Amino acid sequence: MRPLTAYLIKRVFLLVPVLLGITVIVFFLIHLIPGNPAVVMLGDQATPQAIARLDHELGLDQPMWLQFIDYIGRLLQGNLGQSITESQSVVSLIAFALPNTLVLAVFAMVVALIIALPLGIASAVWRNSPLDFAGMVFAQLGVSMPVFWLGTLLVEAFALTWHIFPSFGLGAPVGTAFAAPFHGDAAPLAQLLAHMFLPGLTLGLTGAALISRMVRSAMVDVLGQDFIRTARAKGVGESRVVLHHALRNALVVVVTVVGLQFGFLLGGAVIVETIFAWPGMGRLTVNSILARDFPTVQGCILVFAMMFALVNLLVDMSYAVLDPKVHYE
Amino acid sequence: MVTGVLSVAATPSAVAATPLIGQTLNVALPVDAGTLDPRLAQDTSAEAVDSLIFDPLIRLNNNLGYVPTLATSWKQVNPTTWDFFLRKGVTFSNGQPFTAADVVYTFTTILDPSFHAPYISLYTPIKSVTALNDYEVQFTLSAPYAPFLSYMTMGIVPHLTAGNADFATHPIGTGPYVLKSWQRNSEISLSRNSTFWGARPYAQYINFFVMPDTTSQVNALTSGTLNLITSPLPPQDVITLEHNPSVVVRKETGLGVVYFNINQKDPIMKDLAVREALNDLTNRQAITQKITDGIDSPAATMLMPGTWAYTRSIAIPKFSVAAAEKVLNADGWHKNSKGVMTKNGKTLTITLSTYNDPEREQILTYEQGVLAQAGIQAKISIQDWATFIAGVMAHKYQVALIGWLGLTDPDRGMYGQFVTGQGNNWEQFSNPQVDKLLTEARQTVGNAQRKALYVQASQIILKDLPYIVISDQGWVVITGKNVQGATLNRTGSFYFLTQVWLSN
Repeated sequence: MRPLTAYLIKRVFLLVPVLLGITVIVFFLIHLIPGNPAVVMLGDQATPQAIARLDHELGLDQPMWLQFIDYIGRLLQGNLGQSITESQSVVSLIAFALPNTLVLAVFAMVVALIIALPLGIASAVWRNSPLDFAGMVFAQLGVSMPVFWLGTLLVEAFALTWHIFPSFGLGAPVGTAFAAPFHGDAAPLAQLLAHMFLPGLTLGLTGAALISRMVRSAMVDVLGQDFIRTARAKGVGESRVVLHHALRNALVVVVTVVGLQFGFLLGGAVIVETIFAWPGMGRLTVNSILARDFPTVQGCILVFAMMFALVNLLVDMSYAVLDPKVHYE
Repeated sequence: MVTGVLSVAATPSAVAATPLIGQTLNVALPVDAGTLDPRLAQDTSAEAVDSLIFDPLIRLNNNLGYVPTLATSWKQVNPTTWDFFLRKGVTFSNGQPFTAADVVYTFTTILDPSFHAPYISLYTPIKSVTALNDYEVQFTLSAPYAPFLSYMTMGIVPHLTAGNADFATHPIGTGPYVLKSWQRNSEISLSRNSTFWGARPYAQYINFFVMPDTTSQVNALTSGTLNLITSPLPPQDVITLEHNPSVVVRKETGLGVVYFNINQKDPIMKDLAVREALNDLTNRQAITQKITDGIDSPAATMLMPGTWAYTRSIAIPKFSVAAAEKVLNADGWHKNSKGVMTKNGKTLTITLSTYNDPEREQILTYEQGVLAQAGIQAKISIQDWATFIAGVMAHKYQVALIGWLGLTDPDRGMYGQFVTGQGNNWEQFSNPQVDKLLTEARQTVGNAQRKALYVQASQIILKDLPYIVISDQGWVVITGKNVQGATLNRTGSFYFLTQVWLSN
C-alpha cells in the first residue's frame, strides 16, 4: 500500500476516538449547564406539571448516562436526532446552515489570501520600506479592530451610503444559487454573491491581517537562508527567487495558519452572522446552546469537529506537496 | 408619553387615492419562529407570522374589542356553556372546507397534555368542545370563565392534518396568507392566499427577515430595504429615528409589564419591611424616563392602561430613600459605620437577578446604586434566559427582574401569578383574600364587576408586595415613510399588514 494511502486511512481511523471524545465532553458539558429545554420550549406560561411531562417525553428525566447511551445508539445509526426547539431534524437544520457557512468561509479565505499573499511578500521583499510599514499598520489594525465595528463600518459605507451591496440576508439559498446557472438563470447566484460580499469582506480583512504577518515573517526567514543567496549568485531572476524558491518554502508555515483560520471560519462567525443576518453554523450553534437544544448543539459541534479535522488533514497532506522532504508513515 | 394613546412622530407621506395591490413587504423579526403551528407557538415571531396564516374564532382589535372572524357570532347559553356560530364558505389553503370539526380538533389537541401546548393553562377550564353541526360548536366549561372570549384568539387548524408531523413547518390555515418558503434563521416568506374568504390583502408577498441585531434592522429600514420594524428596539434608536424624516415612528402602550418578582420564602425578602423599602427605592420615573427614554410608563399594578380593567385610583408609589430608611429603621435595621443597614449583626444584602438583556441590566445597575443610598448592599446576577428562568421557576432567587407580555385580560396576568399554588406563582405568594378575589373575578360576568374585584386584589398585592410592578411596556412600530395603512395592534398581531401598501 502506498504510504500516502496508509497515512490517510490511519488519519481517518484516528478521527473516530477524537469525535467520540468530543461527543462525550460536549454531551456532559451541555447537560451540566443550568436550564431546561422543556422550559424554553413551553415558555414562561408553563406549569411545573407541563414541564415535568415534556421532560419525561424527551427523556430528560432519565439518568444522564442513559441519555448518553441512547444518543450514541442513534448516532451510530446516522441519526442526529430531532431539534427540541425548532420542530425539525438536526440534520435538516445543519444541512441548511452548513452550506451558508462554507461559501462564506471560502469567500472570506479567498479575500484574505488575495490581500495577504501579495502584501506579505512585498513587505518581506521591501523590508523596512514605507510599503512594509503600511502593510504592518494594516496588519495591526486588522488584528486589533473588533469585527463588529469593521462590519458596521462596511455596512455604513457600502450599503447605506453608496448603496452598492445589501446589508443583510442570504439573497438566495446556496443550493438554488449554484444550481440556477445550469438552468440559464444567473440571478440567484448574483444575489448570493452580492449579499455575501460585505460579511465575506469583513471576515476576509480580519483574516488577511493575521495571514499577511505570517507571510511576511516566514518570507523574511526564508529569504535570509543560504540557498536563496546561492540562487541569486547563480543568476536566478529575482521574481523566480521570491515566488518559486522562497515562497514555496515559506508556505509550509503559512498553510498551517491558513488551515487553522479556515477551520475556525467553518465553525461559523457568530458576530458577523448576527450583524449581517447570515444564517450560518455560528448562529445555529449559539442559538441552540441558549435554547438548551441538546441534539442540535451536539450535531453542530460534531460537524464542526469533522470539518476541522478534514481541514487539518488537507493541511498535513499539503506539506508533502510543498516540501519534498516530508514523508508519510 | 400619554398612557394608552397612540403617538406618532413624523407625518406619514401623503396618501395616494387608491392602495396599490400586489407589492412585496419586507419586515424584520428579532428571532426565528420556533414553530408555525399556532397551538405550539410561544415566541412573538411565530405569533406574528401565524396571525397572517391562520384565523381564530375571534380577533382582538387594538382596543381589545372582539372582532368576529371564523365565528360570526356567539352566545352564552348558560354560565358554563358557549355556542359559536361559524362562518360559512371558508376553506383552508389546501382546499379543505372549514367546519366545526376543525374547531373541535384544534382545542381538543391543545387540551391534550401529551400535545404540550404552551398555553394549555389558559384553556383548562374548557371541559369539552362539541360540534353541534357543521357550523355550530359548543364549549362546555367546568366553571364560569370570564376571560374565555379573550382567549378565543387561537388560530384554527384543519382536522384532516391530524398526525401530520410536518404541520409545524408546513402550516395550513384559512388566513390571508400562506407559507411560501421558510429558510431557518433567515427568512419566512408568505404569499397571498388566493382562496381567502375575507377582503383581499394589498401585498402579494410578505417577507419576514430574521435579524437579531437591532442596528441592522434600523440600517435596513432607513435604507429602504425593510419597510417595517417593531419592538423590541433599543430606546436610543427609537429616539434617533423620531428625528429621521424618512421613517414614521408609532408608539403605543403595550400589554406588558416589567416588575420585580420577590421570593416570598426567602429569609430576607419574606420580611415585609424589606419589600416595602425596595418598593420605596424603585424609582419608576427615572427608570422609564432615563433608561427606556419614555417608551415605557411608570406602573403600580398588573392592570393595563387603555383596557377596561385599568384604574387611576391606585397611585404610583413615590420614590423616597428617606421613606425606605424609615421603614427599615422601624424594623430594626440601622446603618453601621460603613453606612450599610445591619440587624442582629447581619448586613442587609440582596441579590437582584435578571437575564442578559441590555435594558434589564441597566435597570439593575441603576437600582443597585439607589439601594446603596439607603444602606442596602445589592449584588447583581445576570444569566442567559434559560438559566435565569429555570432558577426563578425553581424558586432559587431573591429578587428577579422580569416581565410579562400579552396581558389581554387581567386574569392572564394575575390568576396564575398570585393564586396560591398556581403554575406561575413562582414567588410562592399566598393570600386567601387574593385567592378569593381572583377566583371570583375569573368567574364573574361583567367588566365593571370584574374590575372592582381586580382593583381590590391589586390593592392587597401592592401592600403585600409579591411583585413590585415597575412599568408598563411600550409597543413601537417604525415604518418607512412610503408605508401606508400601518396601524398598531398592541396584542402583537401582525394582521394589520393586510392593509399595508407602499406609495411610490
